[in-house]
Amino acid sequence: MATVPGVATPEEYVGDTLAREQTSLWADAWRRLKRNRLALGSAVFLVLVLLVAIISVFWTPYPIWRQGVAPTYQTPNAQFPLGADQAGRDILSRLMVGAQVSLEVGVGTQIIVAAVGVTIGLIAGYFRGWLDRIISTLINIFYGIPDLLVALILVLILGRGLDKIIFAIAVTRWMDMARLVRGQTFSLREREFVEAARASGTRPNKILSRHILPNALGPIIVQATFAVPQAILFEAFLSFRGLGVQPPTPSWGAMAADGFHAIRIAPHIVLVPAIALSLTLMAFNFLGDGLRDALDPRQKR
Amino acid sequence: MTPVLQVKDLRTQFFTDDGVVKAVDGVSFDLHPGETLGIVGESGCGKSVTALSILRLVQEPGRITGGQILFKGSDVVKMHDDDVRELRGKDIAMIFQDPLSSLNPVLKVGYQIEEAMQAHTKISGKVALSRAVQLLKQVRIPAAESRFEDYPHQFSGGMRQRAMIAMGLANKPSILIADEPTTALDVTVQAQILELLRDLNEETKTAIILITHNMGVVAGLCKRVLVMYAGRIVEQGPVEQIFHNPQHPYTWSLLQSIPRLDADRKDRLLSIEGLPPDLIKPPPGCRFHPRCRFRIERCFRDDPSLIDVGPDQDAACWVTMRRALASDGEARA
Amino acid sequence: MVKRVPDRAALLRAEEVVKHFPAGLGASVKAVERVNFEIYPGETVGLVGESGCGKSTLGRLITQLLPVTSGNIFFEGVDLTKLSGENLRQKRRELQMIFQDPYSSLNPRMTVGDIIAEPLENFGLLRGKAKDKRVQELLRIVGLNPYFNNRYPHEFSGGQRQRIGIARALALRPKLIVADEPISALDVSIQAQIINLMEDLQKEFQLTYLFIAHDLSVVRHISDRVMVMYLGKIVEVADSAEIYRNPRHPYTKALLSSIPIPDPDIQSTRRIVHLSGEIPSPVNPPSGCRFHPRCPIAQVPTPCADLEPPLEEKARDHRAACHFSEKVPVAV
Repeated sequence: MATVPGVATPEEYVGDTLAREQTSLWADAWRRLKRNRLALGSAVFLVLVLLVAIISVFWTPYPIWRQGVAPTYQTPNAQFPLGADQAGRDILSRLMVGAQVSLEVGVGTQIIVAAVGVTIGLIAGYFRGWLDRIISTLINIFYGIPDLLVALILVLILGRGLDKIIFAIAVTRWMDMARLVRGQTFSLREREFVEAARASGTRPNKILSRHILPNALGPIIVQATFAVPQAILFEAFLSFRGLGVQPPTPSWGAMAADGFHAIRIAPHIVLVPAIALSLTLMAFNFLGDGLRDALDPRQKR
Repeated sequence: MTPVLQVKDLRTQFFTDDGVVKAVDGVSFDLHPGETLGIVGESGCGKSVTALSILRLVQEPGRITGGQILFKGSDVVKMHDDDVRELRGKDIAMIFQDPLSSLNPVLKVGYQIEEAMQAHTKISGKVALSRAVQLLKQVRIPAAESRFEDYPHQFSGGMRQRAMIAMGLANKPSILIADEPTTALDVTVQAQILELLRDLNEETKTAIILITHNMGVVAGLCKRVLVMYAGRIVEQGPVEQIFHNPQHPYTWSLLQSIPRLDADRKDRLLSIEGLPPDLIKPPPGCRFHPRCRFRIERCFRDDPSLIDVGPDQDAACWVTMRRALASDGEARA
Repeated sequence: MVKRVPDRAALLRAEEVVKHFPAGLGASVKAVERVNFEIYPGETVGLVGESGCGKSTLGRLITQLLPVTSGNIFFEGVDLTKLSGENLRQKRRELQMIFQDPYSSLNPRMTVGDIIAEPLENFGLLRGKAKDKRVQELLRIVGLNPYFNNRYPHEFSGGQRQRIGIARALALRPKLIVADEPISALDVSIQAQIINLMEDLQKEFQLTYLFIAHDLSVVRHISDRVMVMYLGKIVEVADSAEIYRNPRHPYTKALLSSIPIPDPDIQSTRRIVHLSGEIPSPVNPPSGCRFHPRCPIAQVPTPCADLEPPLEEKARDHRAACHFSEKVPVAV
């Protein structure tokens, strides 16, 4: 390399030096997320909740429905780490299954919401015109209807199954996602790379799936992460009002309701599910914050 | 004549996750009272960071890590924060590329000029008002009295830059630093702003440091030019020398690479191949050598410092264009 | 230099092209107003004007990224404005575009290889190995390492990204490329690289360019002919050397005088033509000649304020839209 004639044309440099070496933007986001302790801790906590929920499918310390495995109102001890409720059922076992219910509701509703909201949002944002006007009107109408009322009515009509509750919550909660995706699509559609795709003859379905959706995925994930705890809370509230999952399937909301009348003599019956619920909700919110920071391109130097 | 500003071996570095970016790496120059000095270079060459360093406006993770910035003898680098604040806007004013983001959108333009004055001098509202109107007139804003009451969004891009200049001149500073003041403007407006700066320099004797990537802009306004590349000054001298007799291959190549409006023939442009170097790990030897078409063996190894290459003209090059073109001619013959 | 043969068939002909954007409350932005011009095969036509003059909109009308409000655009005799759906999509193969912003014009979630291959896939032109080979060939043609095909755009510098955008535009072997300010976002030393590349590609692939820019010196360098736009109208069209030597519209003259020349001797003696006021709003363009409120030689009200000057032949192959074109001072 050291021997170079007096005049050299360094042609070989044109395209051979990369400005910076990095893997995909997703790897970059992951790198940033890892630096956020709170978000990372939350993620670990949620993975634990998930593990507990999975274990509870196969095994719980005691059958969740069997009454009198412990004395009623048993306070936590070695044999019953979280105590027992008014019917003498093991609270730990019920809490484990409750985690399963909460995650199913939270994630389940968001899968439906994402499927519906993303599709509707993409269509409204990309095609605009009358299609967008109809969809936007629909979104506003749904915002106008009190969600609690609609969910209650739906549960009354459809029955109290977990799937029905998921459906009822999704019906009242798809609009945020649709509106977000519509807005994202609106602005991404104006970006030059979408224009370039159109100019080179890319069909609309491919523009949506290859160009717009992947670039809107960050905000979609963040939105879904924030919406999961809302759905969990919604279910807890329905269960608390006795409109949640069918007993004896425990839900954190129902468990809290069960202990409510005995709050003075056995506060742990309310406190245990309430704390589990709060921690889970908090974890999802911290994770959502972390994801937003990690996925936000404006943070990029 | 004693210089109003002396920058000595200035080093400003950015401590990023990827490493230390040596954005300004040993820059020295003098600015004399009333002088117009141009600093030219491409994005990332350190010209803007040099300007920000002078006013200690470099933001985290950037830091001035060495050198001196002597304003009338006192070192800005070591100055107390309060004194630097007093310096900014009073002795040294700065205007930026995007005047809209420098102006507060909810305050009237006139009020912002008055405020700029009252921040540094105790004057009555009445005096401030008449002086502000006078300043708007000085920067050739038509109907200054009525435009005084306007909000920034009611001004066009060119008018906003004029208002920023008025604000910059409010306290009769010794130095006005203009960082790419015309880059966001249309050419016809750019020409008028440059003309204004030239006139104001003559009227007020305020020294101007013009930072730009546009060689044509420098040619029209500045008496002396610094050419920066990869955090260093590679050449400096009087504007005529730099444009007619450039000695550093980078300066020479840059001038050859821009299409000229007055070019008679459509020659192929000379292109500088490759990219500016990564300032975390700059190349050994001369920083320009990977892109230089006149490099010799020594350029790979040894880092050249500025040497005298003509009247008041210095270049940091082992070859210099005088020799490069001579040997090129020999080779051709 | 490509010289125009006057009666050669135009590759593209724009007739009375109008584009209005709705601006609320029934008002509209008159971005492009009754514009006529031709582009001949193999030439480079420069389109210059200041921001908001409608040049980028006009570029997008030609490539049919925007629909016209009225008027016709004939490409090889076919009226693009009458095409839609699959017919229009098929025509896009011949008409490609290079964009201004090398950062936003490449999808950050796609590899460079996928970006360049997309046009090929859209028309089912090549598959598998043959497609990969073509992508690598295109990378090589634009001066990039062919093995960078699985890299992502953000790993490249601005100039390299613009090369990727050019490779994408070349993939379909188009006849006409509309380049919308392709170098204005790039550094000075990189601009020449891209200009030279575009010139080389033009020779190699017999391309025709519409080169949109705000910088007349770049346009003069690369173009055979130059069109100057002001407030939605083309005000002057001529050979690029001719328009510089002998501008026939006062706006062109002002534009020329404003462009800094990198030579202190010349620059210090030049006089700029001052335009009074600001560019008027395209929602309410001035009556008559749109330039009259700012024109140094306008005669108001008659004819300049009430009669719109037609774009007419003032000299051989030199058209200007000015009532007093003979009064426009000569040279810079």
